[in-house]
Amino acid sequence: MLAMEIGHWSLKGFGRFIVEEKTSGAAVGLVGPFEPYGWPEPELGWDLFDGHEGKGYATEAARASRDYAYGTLGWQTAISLVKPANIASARVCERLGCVLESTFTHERHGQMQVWRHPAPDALSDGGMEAYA
Amino acid sequence: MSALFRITGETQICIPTLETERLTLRAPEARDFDAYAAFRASPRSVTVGGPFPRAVAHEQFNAVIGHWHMRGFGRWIIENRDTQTAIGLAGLYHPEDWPEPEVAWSLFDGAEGQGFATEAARAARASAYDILGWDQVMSLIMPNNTRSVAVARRLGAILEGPYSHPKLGTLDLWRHLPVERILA
Repeated sequence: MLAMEIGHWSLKGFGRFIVEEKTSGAAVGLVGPFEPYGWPEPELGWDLFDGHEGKGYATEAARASRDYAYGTLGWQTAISLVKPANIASARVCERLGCVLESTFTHERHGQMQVWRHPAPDALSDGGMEAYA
Repeated sequence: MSALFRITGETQICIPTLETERLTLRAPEARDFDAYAAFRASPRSVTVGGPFPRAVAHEQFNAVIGHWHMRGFGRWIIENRDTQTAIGLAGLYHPEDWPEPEVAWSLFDGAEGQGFATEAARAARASAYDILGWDQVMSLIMPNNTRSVAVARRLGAILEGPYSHPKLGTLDLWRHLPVERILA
């Protein structure tokens, strides 16, 4: 629901970006800080559209959006919620240095894994340390 | 500064604010959500496909704002200027599964019977004609929604025929007075 994604920016002051592939100009997914109703806390979310998996785009975009959340929005921590069957997203979490912390059950979306991202000062590949 | 990205632009969502005799039509804000969710959960929302759980209403409320960005028009919160309370929504609405854009209105519980829907819908229709340059517009109304049918009649709309919606069933398509008749 794309209109919902846009309204999220207006109501929360942050939201998800469209991920555009620079070379083709194609929209390949959504990524960014996200807090739908009933979430335990704000998360970094990502979805790749069909056919754009396997190129590292989710990792690249999620890493940039984490830097945006920490550096621009001033978040001190971040989670990502992943459905247990979503192996590809769990792999992205691992690549981003996240730790599987717990599970969370949403009234509409069911059970999800809570992955905790490294804190801003623990990051060597972005976040505050990269701000020299 | 980030090592991972550069910020190279910014996108604004533009929602104008309109004033009518008694009402302000303005952008939805986070503080309006409780009143919106209460309406979407109430039995009265059956006329708009409800009732909806609060989590669904939250997505729908976000989408009211996003619609402005997607279409360049949308629905406002209707605020009663006297009491400074949000009493409903009205505006121009064109979801993906609508046959064409419509003038839409909903009043929250307790705001009916004072002509607010008619006043807001009239302004919304005028914005379609005067600001957007449309030459005609319609409204889709569930046949048993007698209060909204009365508003459509008050606005001079004419029942054109049924429209079969994939999820909402049979709706009546009310055709509004064309722009020439409004301006005359």
